[in-house]
Amino acid sequence: MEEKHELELDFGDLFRYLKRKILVLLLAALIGGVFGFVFTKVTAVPKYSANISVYLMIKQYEEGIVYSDYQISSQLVYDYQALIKCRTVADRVIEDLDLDMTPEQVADAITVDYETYSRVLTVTVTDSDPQRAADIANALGNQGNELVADMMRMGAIQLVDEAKVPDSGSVANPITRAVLFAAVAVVLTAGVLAVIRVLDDTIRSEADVQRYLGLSVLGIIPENAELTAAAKKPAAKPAASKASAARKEKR
Amino acid sequence: MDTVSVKKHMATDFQVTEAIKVLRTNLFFSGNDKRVVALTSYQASEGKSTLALQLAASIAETGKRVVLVDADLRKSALASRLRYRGKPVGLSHYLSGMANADEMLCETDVKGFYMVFSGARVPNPAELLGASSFDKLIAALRDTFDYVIVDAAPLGQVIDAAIIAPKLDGVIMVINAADNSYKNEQRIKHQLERSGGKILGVILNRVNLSELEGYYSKNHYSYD
Repeated sequence: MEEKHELELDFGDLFRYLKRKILVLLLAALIGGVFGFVFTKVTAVPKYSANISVYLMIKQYEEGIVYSDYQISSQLVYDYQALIKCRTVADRVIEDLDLDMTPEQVADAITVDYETYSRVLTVTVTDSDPQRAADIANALGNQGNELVADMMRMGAIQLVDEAKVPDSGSVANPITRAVLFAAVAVVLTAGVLAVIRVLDDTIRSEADVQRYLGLSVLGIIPENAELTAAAKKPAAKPAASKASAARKEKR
Repeated sequence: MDTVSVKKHMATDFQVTEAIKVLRTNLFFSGNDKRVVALTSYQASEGKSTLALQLAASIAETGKRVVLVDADLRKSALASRLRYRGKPVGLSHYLSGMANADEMLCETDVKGFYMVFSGARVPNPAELLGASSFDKLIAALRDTFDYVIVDAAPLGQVIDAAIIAPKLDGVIMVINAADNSYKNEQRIKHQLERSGGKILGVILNRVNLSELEGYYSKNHYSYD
């Protein structure tokens, strides 16, 4: 029988093993879930969103709007989305509002969306301070648009809606977080258990005996607490010798 | 002859007794010429001695005459297990010429089941077991009894089992489930083969039934 060096993955065995360990997995889910819930509650910071609306339309000719104006503007929508987040714009906003933020932080707080088939964009600023969110949004709407309009070499970008200070914010939902943490905990635990099982090189079944030793199994004796305890008990008691001495007498 | 009380050490669990009967049957089916067998394992405490006891008693229950020889001269497992404080004469005394065969044979409270204890601890068990006196003993026991079960020392620790293996009809490896790396078991298997011993098979001991799938599932042995 040659030595077995390769790792064999018996998925059936693995699945049954994990099924037996269901309590461990449930415990992991519970711990993960509770942790996620508490963690979210403790670190939760409400985020406020303020937004402005912007209309992009160039006008190439004095006489009026031509179709190519629409076509070009539609393409410029994409450029605007990138440009409004550029460092030049962020620097300007930081300077004007005297903000204690880096340009990267400002850019991260901005999301831009547009109404399909239109050239109307919504620029949303998210921040933990509602007033600051509104201020940045409006700054983008004024100074920001000014800068971008220059870069795109268009006329003024029109500000449609100004930002209002939001009165309610959103917080990460502790329930969804708990579920997420629980799921991750279960996956991780299952992974660890699986690794332990696969690396286990002990002989535990008839199949193992056949695979590793090529011998037949003459008996499979179940685990028995009574016998195991008897095996571990320490040596002889005097009572036995009295009994055998008595029997000797009888003969 | 001394009488040793073994009945109270017999397993009572239905699943265990049924498993022992299966083992007994498989041993019988190994052949008419396989009547002198040794049990060995990789390490101590794999349940080998307990098994030897249960198996020998079970064989006696079929009406055959069986003798259980404790050949673990370094550690008299059977004597301590059965709390035997009777006469101290055992295998080591016989092998070193200090006693004759009759003196070391013991009866038990199970009809047809006899016993030979290991005797006092000796400094040279391997040499004693390799001597011709052991061969003579086996030949004599073979004539007197239907079955001879030898409880040998763990092969992973000492060489004794490999020394006596070729003198017997066969050896059975006792493996504690989920206890040892397969590499260890392969090692003792090779050792036995190199020594000229014939391995009849394996006994998987202390198996957690819920681990086994399909045919040998938890409920396999329950008939009530």
